[in-house]
Amino acid sequence: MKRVVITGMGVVSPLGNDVESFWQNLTAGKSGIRPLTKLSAGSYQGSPLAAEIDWQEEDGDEALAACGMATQYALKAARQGLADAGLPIYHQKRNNIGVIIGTTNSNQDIMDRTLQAFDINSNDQEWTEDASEMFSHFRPIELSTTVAKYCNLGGPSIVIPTACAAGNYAIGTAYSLIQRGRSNIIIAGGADAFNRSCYTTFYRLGGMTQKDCRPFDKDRTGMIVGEGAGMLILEELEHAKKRNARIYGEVKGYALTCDAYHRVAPDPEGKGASRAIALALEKSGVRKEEIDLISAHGTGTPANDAQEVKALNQVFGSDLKHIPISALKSMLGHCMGAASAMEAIAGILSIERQVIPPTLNTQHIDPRFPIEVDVNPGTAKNTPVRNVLSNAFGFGGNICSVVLGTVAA
Amino acid sequence: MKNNEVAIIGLGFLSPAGRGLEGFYRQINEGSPTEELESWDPDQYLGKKGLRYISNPSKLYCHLSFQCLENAGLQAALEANPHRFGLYDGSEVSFVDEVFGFDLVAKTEGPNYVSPMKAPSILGNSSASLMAIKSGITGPNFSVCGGNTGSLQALDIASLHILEGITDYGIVTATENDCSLHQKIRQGERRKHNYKQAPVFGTSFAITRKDRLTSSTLHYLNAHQFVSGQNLGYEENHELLIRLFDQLFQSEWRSKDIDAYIIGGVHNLDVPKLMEEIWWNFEVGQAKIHLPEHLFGTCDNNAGSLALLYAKGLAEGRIEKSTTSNVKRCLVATVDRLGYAVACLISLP
Repeated sequence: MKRVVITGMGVVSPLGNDVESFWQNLTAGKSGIRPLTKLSAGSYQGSPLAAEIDWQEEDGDEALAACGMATQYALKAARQGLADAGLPIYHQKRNNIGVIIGTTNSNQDIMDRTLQAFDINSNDQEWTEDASEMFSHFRPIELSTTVAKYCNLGGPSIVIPTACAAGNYAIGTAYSLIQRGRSNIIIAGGADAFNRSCYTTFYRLGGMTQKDCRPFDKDRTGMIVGEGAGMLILEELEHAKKRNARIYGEVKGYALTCDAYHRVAPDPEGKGASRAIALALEKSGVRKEEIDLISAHGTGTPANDAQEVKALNQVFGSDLKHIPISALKSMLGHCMGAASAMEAIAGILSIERQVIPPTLNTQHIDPRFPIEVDVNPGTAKNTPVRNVLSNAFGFGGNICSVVLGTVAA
Repeated sequence: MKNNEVAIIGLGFLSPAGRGLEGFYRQINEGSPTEELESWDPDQYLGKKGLRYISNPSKLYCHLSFQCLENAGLQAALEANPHRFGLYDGSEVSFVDEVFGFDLVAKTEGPNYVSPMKAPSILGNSSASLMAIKSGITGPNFSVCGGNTGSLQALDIASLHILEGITDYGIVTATENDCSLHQKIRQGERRKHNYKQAPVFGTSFAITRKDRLTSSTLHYLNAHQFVSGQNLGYEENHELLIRLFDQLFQSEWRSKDIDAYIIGGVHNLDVPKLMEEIWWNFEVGQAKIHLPEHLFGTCDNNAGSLALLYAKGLAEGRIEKSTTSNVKRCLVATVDRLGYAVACLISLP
């Protein structure tokens, strides 16, 4: 069976638009969460917060500027990843390199942009040709095809809109395709950009906090919408070795399940999540004692965190007390489809550097959980990390757990 | 069993021309109907209650998936092992109407006036997720946005999961919408063709490993090998297809083994050039190149599914305007305007 390793990474995040800044800020316990500026904050009651990207447009490229912001974030992160992997950011030769991008909203900001630019205020309003042209960039497939075109990549190109689990879906799918010999290299990750529909969704569902995001805390009050992109270069092991690529770590396995419970709420018993975690461990051949870090979905909402601990407890039992859990959304906000890709990047860096980033804001673990968990509060910790379990859960009950690890001989 | 072979064991189809395989044959032989779909769930698989907040594409998705499960006779297997079933959606922008309505209220009236009940429908995975809840399927729930390649790409992923042992059965469904926003996207893309657009319709396929087939299993088609790719800087869409066909012919079949080439996404192709390139590059023999959208109407998400159904029609001699017969092995492919294509080898049982 072919093995799949990670040879490059790129990130556009609320904590920095390159991997090194992202990592330094994460391990320093900095927060990318600020008052909302990209939407009309006055329209939302209270003091709305957001984890926004500080963005400079790419060198006057009009065609790229016409694309949705998620597409632009994805391209920037993909180029970083290619360069980090020692690969050209534009391939001159025929190749079969793939691009797989998970997303929640894809290019929904194009809807905002079109309604704003052409002052569209009703269903029956006539649209000009220019408005339709702008709107045609709404298509989600543009995420992967634009990255592929700008980097001249000729392999599989897939956009997976499986909500907040989508980044892990992309990593898992790339892993499967490489294992089946469909491609030797695939850029896989997630991308999402701020837009009114997404922010309004969480606002109206009462999922957002206006204080701080404190995953697994007894006083947690919700998540904070973020944005960005995270891209990993997944490569077949022998291919990577042959070109002397730097190998950060290995994708050891993954599992997909569905709660089939509710359209926007997780199964409170965590049944789908526990099955995904157990299956991911089984598929990866990693024993639960060999997991040194759990990168939690950890949104900070009462429902998510409760079911995630239940699910972890069902699989790990009392061992869970001794496995640190990081909940990066306390610093990054919830970057939607990009979230689990960013968390995978952090997980791989934890393996490479033997450091676990902290969870911010959490002070008192919820005593209603079936087991006490260690979220490594406050400061980063130096500790041996061989394998990381990374969870991602999305609306619609879409679940994907991935196991990342060191590359064994 | 060859390690790259899955069997299609159930079908779902719904259009204004009818349901099931017979509905498809009616439309392909009589042309695209002018009337609209009477109901998005004519068999009321979703019941009558709680439909207010379910979008029409999601109703259609669920209808087709249930129709397919029924056709394949998989209810008992589903009840026994719901986690061994996967649901796949190959419909891009099926949710665009819902996003527009949602965002328009947020813009014009303010976020406080948006109904939270509408939130689930604005996501790209809303249809497959709803079907999971309605059917109890707890295996992979997977949506893809592949445009003209959508249904074939979803079938590719579902096959991958079967072959990797992740699932035993996959239900692969794609819906086709024709709301005013879809029309705006098409207008914005400045599509230059005179083909008629197919009406609202959808398709569904149930797949499994070939070694799970029993004497009582329906067995429509086999899917042998998938390839996919994006056009490179120098490639036009027809050249991309030739590259992918070439990859396919490196596997178990050679070009001389192919009885029919069935191509979707016809409005994204220079058809004469594609034909010329196929004849130039491959050993074509008596094989013909078929463009089912000429008869059916052009599709977005379902261009690949249409090609699969057409393959079945050719094998059964049910495509009245085609003289092709004795079809056993087909190459099915479809390409999107953005230069992405999926191709696969299909055999008839």
